[in-house]
Amino acid sequence: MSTLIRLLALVSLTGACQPQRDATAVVPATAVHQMCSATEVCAHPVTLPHRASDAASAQPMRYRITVPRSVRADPDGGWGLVVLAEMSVEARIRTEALLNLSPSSGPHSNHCNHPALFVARTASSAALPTEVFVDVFSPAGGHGGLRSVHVGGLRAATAHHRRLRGLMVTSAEIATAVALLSALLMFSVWVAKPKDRAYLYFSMACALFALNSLHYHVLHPPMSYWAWDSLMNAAVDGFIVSLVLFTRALTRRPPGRIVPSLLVYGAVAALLPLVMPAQLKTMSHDIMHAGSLAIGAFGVVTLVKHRGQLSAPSRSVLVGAGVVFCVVGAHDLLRLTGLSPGLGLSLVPFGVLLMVIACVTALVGDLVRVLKLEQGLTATLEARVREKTEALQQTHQHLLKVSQDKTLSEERERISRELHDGTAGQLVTLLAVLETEPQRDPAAMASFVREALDDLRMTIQSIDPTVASLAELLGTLRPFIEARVQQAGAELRWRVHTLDDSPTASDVLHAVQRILQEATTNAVRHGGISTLTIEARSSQATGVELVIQDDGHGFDAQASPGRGLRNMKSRAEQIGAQLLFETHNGVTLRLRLPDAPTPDQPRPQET
Amino acid sequence: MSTKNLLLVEDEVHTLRMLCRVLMGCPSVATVQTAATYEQALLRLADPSIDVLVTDLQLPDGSGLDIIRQARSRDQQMPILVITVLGTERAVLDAISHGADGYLLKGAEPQSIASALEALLAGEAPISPAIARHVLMRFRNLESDAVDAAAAPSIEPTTHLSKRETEILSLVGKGLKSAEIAEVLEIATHTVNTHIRNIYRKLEVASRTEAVYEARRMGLLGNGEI
Repeated sequence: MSTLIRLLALVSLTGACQPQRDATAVVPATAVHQMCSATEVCAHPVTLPHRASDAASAQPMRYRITVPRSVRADPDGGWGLVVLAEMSVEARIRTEALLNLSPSSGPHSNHCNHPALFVARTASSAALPTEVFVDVFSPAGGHGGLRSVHVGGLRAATAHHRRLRGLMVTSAEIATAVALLSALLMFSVWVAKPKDRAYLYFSMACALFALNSLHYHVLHPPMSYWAWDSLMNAAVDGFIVSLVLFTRALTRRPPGRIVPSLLVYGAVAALLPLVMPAQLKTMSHDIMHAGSLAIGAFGVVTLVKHRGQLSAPSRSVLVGAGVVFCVVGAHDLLRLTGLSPGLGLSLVPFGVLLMVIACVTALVGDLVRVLKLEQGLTATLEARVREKTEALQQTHQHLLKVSQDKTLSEERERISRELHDGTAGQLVTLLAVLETEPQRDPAAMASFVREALDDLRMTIQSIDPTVASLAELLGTLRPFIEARVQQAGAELRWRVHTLDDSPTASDVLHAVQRILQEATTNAVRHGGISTLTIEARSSQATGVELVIQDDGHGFDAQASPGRGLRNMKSRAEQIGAQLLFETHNGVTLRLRLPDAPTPDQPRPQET
Repeated sequence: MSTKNLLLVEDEVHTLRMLCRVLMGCPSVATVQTAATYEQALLRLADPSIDVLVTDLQLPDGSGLDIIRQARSRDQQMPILVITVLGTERAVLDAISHGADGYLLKGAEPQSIASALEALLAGEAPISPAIARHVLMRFRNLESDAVDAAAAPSIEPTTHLSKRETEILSLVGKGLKSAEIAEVLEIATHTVNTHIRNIYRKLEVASRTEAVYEARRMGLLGNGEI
C-alpha cells in the first residue's frame, strides 16, 4: 500500500522537493507539525513526501524537523520522538541538538511501518531543542523515507507510540488473518463449484493480499532485499489483477481473451523487476503499479457498467465498499501529498479489509441466491409436473367418458333401428291390415301380433349384456327359431352342446344372429323341409363352425337366393368369417368364424 | 291325475279373460278363480281349496311377489307360476326367489300356455336359457359375496350349486331342453327336472339368506334374530 501511495504522490505532486544526494545538504522539511503541548502528542503527523530514486546511494537522507515551542517535555525532563518510516528503510535518527538523544529501541533501525520510539531527556523541563535531524538510511540501496514524526512529552510519546504500533500492526494482523481465511473459504467453494470462476479469483486476490501483508510481519526477509521487495510489489499487482478478474467473473462477463492477458500481465509484473538492473527496478515497479491501477480502474468500470448482473444485495454491498475504499484512498492520498493531515494513519489497510469483507459477502450472497433459485426451480418443476399429471388425468377421464358415450349412443342407435325395422314395422302393417281388411280372420291377426311380440322379445333378449358367448346366443335364439320351424310343420334339431362358453365379440354375435335369422327364413320359406338342423362345433383345425342344414328342395339358383345370400355373405365378410354354401339334398350353410381375438378388440380390416 | 283349482291374479281385464279361457281349456284344471287386485288375491288365497296359483307381478295395490311369498309359506307344495310379458329374467328370477316355480308368457299361443301349465303340473320345471344364465350369474355373485363376508359370522351356510347343477344350467343356456339334456348327460328326464327344481329352491333360500344378511349388515336386525 505504501508503494501505492507513493505512486499517487508521484502522480499528483508537483514541486515536491527532491532529496539531494549531497549528504551535507539539509533537506527542508516541507511540512511542520501543528502546535503541540508537552502533554499532548501531535495529532497530525508530519508528512514528508519524497522518494529516493537513487538505489545505489549509501548516503542517508536527512530530514530537519522543526520542533514547535509549545511542545514541552515531561516534568522529569523526558521527551520522545515517534518516528514512522517507510518500507525497507532503516531509519537512523540523529539529533543534533543540545542534548544527546539515544533511541529507546535497540539499534537505530526500524522496519517499515513499525513505528520507532526514540527517547531523550533534557536536564530540566527546559525547552526542547528547536530542531531535530533525522537521517534515514537505506543501506541496501532501496527506497523509502520518513512518513511521519511525532514529538511530545515522554509519557505522551510512549502512549502514542504504543497506540500507533497497536493500530498499525494489529490492523495488519487482522487484515492478514481475514484475507487468509477468505482465501481458504473461497477456494473451497470454488473446488465445489468449479464453474464459478469468481470464487477462484477472489481467493487468489485474498492470498496475494495476505502475501503482501507479510512485509508487516517478517522483520528479516529470507531472501535478498531486492527479491523480497519485488515479491511484495508483485503481490500488490497480483492483488489488483485478481480483483479485476473477480469483478469480471462476478458480473458474468465472458472470459474471452481478457483473462489470459491479465494473467500474463500479472506474471510480467512479478518477474520484470527481477530482471531489471538495479537502477531501473524502482521505475519498473512504478510502471507496473501504474499499469495495475489502470487495470483496476478498468475493473471498476466493468463493475459499474454491468452492475445489473449482480444481485441486489451484492450490488449495494460491493458498491458501498467501493465507495468507502475510494474515500479511504482519497484520504491517504491527501495524507501523502500533504494537502491534509487526515487521520493519524493510513486507512488503506482498513479499506482493503472492508473491500474483502464486502466481496466475501457478495459471493456468499450470490451462493445463497443460487441455492434459493435452485429450490424455487425444483418447487416450480414439481408444481408443473403435478399440473400436467392432473391435466392428463382429466383428459383421460374425458376420453373415457367420450368413448363410453359413443358406445352408448351406438347401442341406442342399434336398438332403435331394430325396433324400427322389426316391431314398429309389424305394428304398422297390422294397423294397415286391420283398417283395410277388417274382415280378416282374427286368428290370423292374433298370430300376426304374436309374431310381432316374439320379434320384440327376441330383440330385447339379444341386447342382454349377459349374452357374451356364441353358445349363449344360440341358446337364446333357439325358442324363436323353433317356433318358426314348427309353424312350418318341421322339426328343429339342436346340436350345440359341445360348443364352449368362451366369450365372443358383440359385433360377431350380432352378425351371427342376423345370418341365422336369414337362413331360417329362407329354409322355412322355400318350403319342403321336414328337419332343420343347427349344429355348432369348435375344432382345432377349423375353429368355430356353425352349420345350418335343411332337407328341403334347395335353392333355385336362378330364382331369389340372390339378395338373401348376398346379405349373409356381406355380413360374414364384415366380421371376417367365411360363409360356404352347398346345395345337394337341401341347403347346407357353413359359417366359419374367424380365430377369436379377445372380445371387442379392433378387428383387422379385410379388403 | 286329479284336477286342480286354480287362482288367477291379473289386473288387466282383457288379459284376464283371455288367460281364463285358455286355462279353463286345460284338462288338468277344474276351476279357475280370479282376482284383479292384491286384496282380492289375498282373500281368495285364504280359501284352502286353491291348488295352483298363477299371478301377475304388477298389481294396482301391491306386488305379486308378496302374493307368491304368502302362498308359498302357506303351502310348500303349491305350484306357482308368474305371468310375464316378455319373460325378462329379472322379473322371473325375482319371482322364483320368492318361491315361484316358473313363468308363463302373456302373449304366447294358447296352446303353449296350456302345455306349459300341464308340464308344470306333471312335474317339469320350466326354465329358459336366459334364466339359466342369470341363475348362474346370481350364484357366482353370491359366492363372491360369501368370500367377502367370510370374516363375518354367517347366519346360515351359504348355498352353492353342485357340479351337476352347474352343468345342467350350462346346457340349458345353450338352448337344450330337458329331454335333450337328459340324453346328453345320460340321466332320466325326471332327474333333470328335479335338479332344476332344486336349483330354484336353492335360489329361494339363497335370496332369503342374502336378504337377511343385507338386513343384518345394515343393522336392521340384531344378532341372533332371524
